[in-house]
Amino acid sequence: MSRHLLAGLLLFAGAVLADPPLRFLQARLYEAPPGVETLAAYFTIENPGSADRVLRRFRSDDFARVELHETRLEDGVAHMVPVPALTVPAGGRVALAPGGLHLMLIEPKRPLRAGDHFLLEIEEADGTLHQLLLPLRRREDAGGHEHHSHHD
Amino acid sequence: MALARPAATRLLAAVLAVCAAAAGLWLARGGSAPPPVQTATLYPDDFPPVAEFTLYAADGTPWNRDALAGRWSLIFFGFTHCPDVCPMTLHTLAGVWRDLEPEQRERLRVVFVSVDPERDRGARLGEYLAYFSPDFLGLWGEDDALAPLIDSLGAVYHRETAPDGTVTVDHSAGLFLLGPDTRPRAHFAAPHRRDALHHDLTLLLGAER
Repeated sequence: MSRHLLAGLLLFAGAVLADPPLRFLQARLYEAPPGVETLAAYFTIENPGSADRVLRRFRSDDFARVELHETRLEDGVAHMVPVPALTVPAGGRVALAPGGLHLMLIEPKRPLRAGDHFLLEIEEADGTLHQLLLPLRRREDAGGHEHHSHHD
Repeated sequence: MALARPAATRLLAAVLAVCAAAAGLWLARGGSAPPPVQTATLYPDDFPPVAEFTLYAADGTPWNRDALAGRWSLIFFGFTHCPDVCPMTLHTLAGVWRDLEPEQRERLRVVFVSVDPERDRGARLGEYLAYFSPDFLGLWGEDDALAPLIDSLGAVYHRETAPDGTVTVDHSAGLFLLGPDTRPRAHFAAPHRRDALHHDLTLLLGAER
């Protein structure tokens, strides 16, 4: 049994290794107004592989806590809903964007200055670890297009 | 019958003349009817002014309904620890504020009303808002003090403290526009677009001079 399990695991690992890795795009961490200890990070995840991938853990040495949340508008009321795991479908993409999915980085442990970079670790359900460098930026002027609906 | 016909003709002529005058006016205005609002929902004309209330500015100055009167007010309810919707909305409003003409800004006030009095009382609120625009007014008050304004506008909020102490606040994400008489004129539903907000504010402020 253990032999079969091992073979299965190796096959599984082989399949995962053969799959192209996730791509993280347009990562940015937005500067918080004075006195605010919670920052929001946004990025887009592309899954060029043939299997769904699940992100389940987010952490950073520079923050006490990192949590994935989704802003949902229901009858004009904004709710924040914790998202314990995020599935990036095979061949698809998921965008974290203002007004939708966002990563909350809570209680910074070092001073935050626009232009600095912060290291974020993202772990997949299978243990694959991603490291993502987030530049701290002011919110840019986006004209009338500040809002992006997220799609998957 | 003999009289009726000329009378009807005269009436028709009069109607046509009025139509022509209207058409002339319409053409003089640039050939199109006033453009409709893009994002606002308008309150009925007989909607009552907001109820009396007393809230506080960041510097401790009391603000009541009369203090709000005299200018248009664009009101957003939120809280400073809100990481996504509030900074996004205030950032959009800062952009709209810059897009408005100085003359329009003199007639309007952007008001951020905190629904998290425990954490947002006093100077903190002022520093937070100044990050977006030094012109924005921040108001805070206890739940009892917030109720008249919240209820008058049909806004809602709900604060909840988790066992680990994390406070989450659900709140109306829309913007409420009051006229200089504090009667609600329009509601802007989220998500907010800078160009559409600018368009509708220009239209609504321009319609009442």
